[in-house]
Amino acid sequence: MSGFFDRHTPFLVQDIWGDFAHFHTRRCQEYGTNIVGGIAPRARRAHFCGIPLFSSVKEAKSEVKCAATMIFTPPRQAKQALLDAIAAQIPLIVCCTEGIARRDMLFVKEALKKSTSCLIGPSAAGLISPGEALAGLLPIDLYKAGSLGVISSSGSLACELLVQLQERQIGVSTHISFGSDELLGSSFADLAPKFEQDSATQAILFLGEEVDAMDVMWERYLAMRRSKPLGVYIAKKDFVSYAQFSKEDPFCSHSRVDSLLEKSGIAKIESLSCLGDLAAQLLKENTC
Amino acid sequence: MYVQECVARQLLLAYGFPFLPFGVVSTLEEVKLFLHAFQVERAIFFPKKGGTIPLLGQGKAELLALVRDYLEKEEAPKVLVQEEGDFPQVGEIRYLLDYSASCYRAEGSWKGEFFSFSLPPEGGGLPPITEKFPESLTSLLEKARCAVFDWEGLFLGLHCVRKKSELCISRVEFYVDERACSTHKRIAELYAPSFQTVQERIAEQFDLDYTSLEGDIGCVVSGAGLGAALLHELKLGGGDASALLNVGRGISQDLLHTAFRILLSDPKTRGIFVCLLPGVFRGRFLVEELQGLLGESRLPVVVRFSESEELKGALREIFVRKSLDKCVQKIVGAVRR
Repeated sequence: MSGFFDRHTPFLVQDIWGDFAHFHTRRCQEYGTNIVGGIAPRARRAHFCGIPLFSSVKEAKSEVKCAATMIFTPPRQAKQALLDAIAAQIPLIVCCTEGIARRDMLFVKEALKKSTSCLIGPSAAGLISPGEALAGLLPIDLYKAGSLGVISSSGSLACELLVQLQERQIGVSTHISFGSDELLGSSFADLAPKFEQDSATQAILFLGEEVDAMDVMWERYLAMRRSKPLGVYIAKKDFVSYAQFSKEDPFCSHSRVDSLLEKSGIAKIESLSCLGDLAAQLLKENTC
Repeated sequence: MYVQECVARQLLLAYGFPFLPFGVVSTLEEVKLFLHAFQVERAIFFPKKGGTIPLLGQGKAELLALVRDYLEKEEAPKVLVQEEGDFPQVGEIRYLLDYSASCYRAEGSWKGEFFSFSLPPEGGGLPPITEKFPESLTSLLEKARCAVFDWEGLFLGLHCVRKKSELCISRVEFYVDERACSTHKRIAELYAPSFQTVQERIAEQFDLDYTSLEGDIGCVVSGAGLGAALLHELKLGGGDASALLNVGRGISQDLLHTAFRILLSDPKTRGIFVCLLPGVFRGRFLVEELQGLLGESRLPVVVRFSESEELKGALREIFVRKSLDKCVQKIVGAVRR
């Protein structure tokens, strides 16, 4: 892989100065990610752990070649960090920040509409191509290189899958955890085509939670040309959060999603315990 | 975050919304005081179906019945109790953040005509005033926009009626973005936490992610996504969670200790299910804490942890398995017994 990144993809890290960012930057670097620069506007030194520091994304882009950025900026400053990365036309933006105010994300999404950048997140656990590179917070010990492409909204849900894959000796080509906020840069329908094009991926597994207008996303995906087997697990939310205020039946789209998937012959499982079996079945289907 | 109606009215008064006078009562005595003090001539009550009055546990419908009985008595003030539908309905306005379209949206009905359009985040974008889209509606939408903008609102719902010839708002529903609370401390101060349980309020003080639910199994998970999936899994297995405690990617031993105490303090909890995964959670304190838990509580405890072999030896009395469905079966069975 990958349509997204590999060990040669040059990465920036925004707000590298923080403890959290520092810890995860080191992990990514040790795993093989090519980190070429860090953004730390108030730093009084030129390097941090061997990584050159810059005062802005724009400056970094003019000094070093970079194709992606990881954002660990605190939520209140994250809007500006995201807008800077979009303005600098960084092709891949991975935002691990949690708790960005929703209105801030509206402005970010407006900016994204006019740009070619792909934003993964916010609140993303990141992406990994096992044996190649890591961008984010994913648990590296659980991955083995293989041919299953995984797209998940939540990192913890994917860990459940990985434990089951380990037992069955199944490897992953690329895993993207794109976050479970209401306003996201990319959804499953945006990311799936990259997996379709990827020669290392033989089957795709999607793990997600129920969200508003999920049926619209699936309609968009099903209208695309598909060549690889897809398996789906969607966790139903049993309690209503503030986010569903405007709907009388918050999950009215769920039964519609079910029927859409059924009509398209997409394998969908109800129980989390069957994830490993589903992955094995999908890979077998492709081999047949 | 839902803002209680009485608080929302206080916040929104500054924007000039024409609210009907409003008061919150939770006992018959309060109703009497309210009616005398404000010399109310007519009143509308909004008991939600099947709801209970927070902290008192009294049914709202029961209270309404008590009030009606009281008002029929000789000594009661002459008050005309009306239903909301007794007032001529003008319309309903919803100004909300539409997640699926990533924009603000104004929608609702006005004098029988439905409307729905998206609006830019920076303001403006309202259609020109016409007969179908009169000034009264535009003015309310503009006020709604200002309020939503100032308070980082996610949803503002207004129910409009006509009293004599005046346009009035009989009900208001307001949700704000809790993620913006750090910049809007006034909301946090005004927000009466009666919608939170005691456990949630305590957990909030320790910055723990705790959600009280209606079932009887206390769940400890490492991640919100896994938490949602686990609730679904428990439902499939015939169980129900009493609380969901998300310890996230990392937690100190002291905090884990507090988290277990909070979970145990909930009288609904009849069993504890711990579901933690490697990589996300480092379980080095878990053994110690679970041993402490066993010493204090006689509740069944099931642990789903992938380093189960290591834990099995340390925790002989606790059911520890890697398999999720076996763990769900075990905890549901233990609690139901």
